[in-house]
Amino acid sequence: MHGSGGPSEILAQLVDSLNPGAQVDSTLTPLICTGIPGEPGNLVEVRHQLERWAARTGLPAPAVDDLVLSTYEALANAAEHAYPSGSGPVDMVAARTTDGRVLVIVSDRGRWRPPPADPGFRGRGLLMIRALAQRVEVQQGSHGTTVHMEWARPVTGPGSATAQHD
Amino acid sequence: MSDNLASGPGPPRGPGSSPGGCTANPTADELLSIDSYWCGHAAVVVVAGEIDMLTAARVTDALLAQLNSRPEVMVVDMEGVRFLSSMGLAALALTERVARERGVELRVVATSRATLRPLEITGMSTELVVHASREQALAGSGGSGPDSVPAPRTS
Repeated sequence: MHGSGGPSEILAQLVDSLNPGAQVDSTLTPLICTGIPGEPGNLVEVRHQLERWAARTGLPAPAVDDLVLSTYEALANAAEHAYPSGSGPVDMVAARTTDGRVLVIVSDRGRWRPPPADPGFRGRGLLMIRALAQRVEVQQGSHGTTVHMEWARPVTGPGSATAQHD
Repeated sequence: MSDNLASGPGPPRGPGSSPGGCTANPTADELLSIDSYWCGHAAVVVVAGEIDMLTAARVTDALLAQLNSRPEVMVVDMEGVRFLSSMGLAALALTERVARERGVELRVVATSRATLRPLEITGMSTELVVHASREQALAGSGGSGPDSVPAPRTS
């Protein structure tokens, strides 16, 4: 976006731009992985790290699974499609926000190539991301592609059971 | 599958800087196991673990190799699959197409959310015959998806 800053500053800006007024929830350390080499082996390790992190967000187990799969698809898309030469660096940040959301941002510094002519075998990644995340924004620019994914935590509070009424 | 990086033989070793304090990367063998056996006229392929960018090619190879042995029925049991990415779905889609071309009846076993969810959101659960257990798949009963009876050829 604008300006330069470390991942934490960029994350704070993104959180605020997506949900004005929201901040990163400092009680759960955001997961920040920058410059991940877009090799399949590295993406596995990042996925496993994300699994452990997501389990601590308070999201229900199905949403945790959706988050991990959706983020992996975004990482794989970035690794596969962004760099004509093969694979390049991919960045991922994941944070819980003070307004009860869990946000994952995956970005690359290349350009997504158009999907291949045979969409039957490939190109399901973005379809899956859109189905798995509760909110998705894809921003493509000259400096790369950024995928924002969001999940809302169920409304609970101390002493209150799940917000269910009939 | 086809246009992998020509990175020389063997898995690439540590990339120099490990992202986010990552430890050694897992290998495909640690993530996935594939076992095959015959049950009458059916070839059964039991896949367990995680199907992702690293392991999907191995799944494709194993499934296509079984199709080469021309079974009447091929059962792909994914009960033990705990992660199924679009690369795994691509392996299944390719297998389904080749099986159809060769007149092999493909039956998939998917029991957990980890496999059913990706199949459902991509519509593949309606393209594949999905069974809730290996026993049902072998018996050809209780499948969902397209008609368990192969559709008549159109051309």
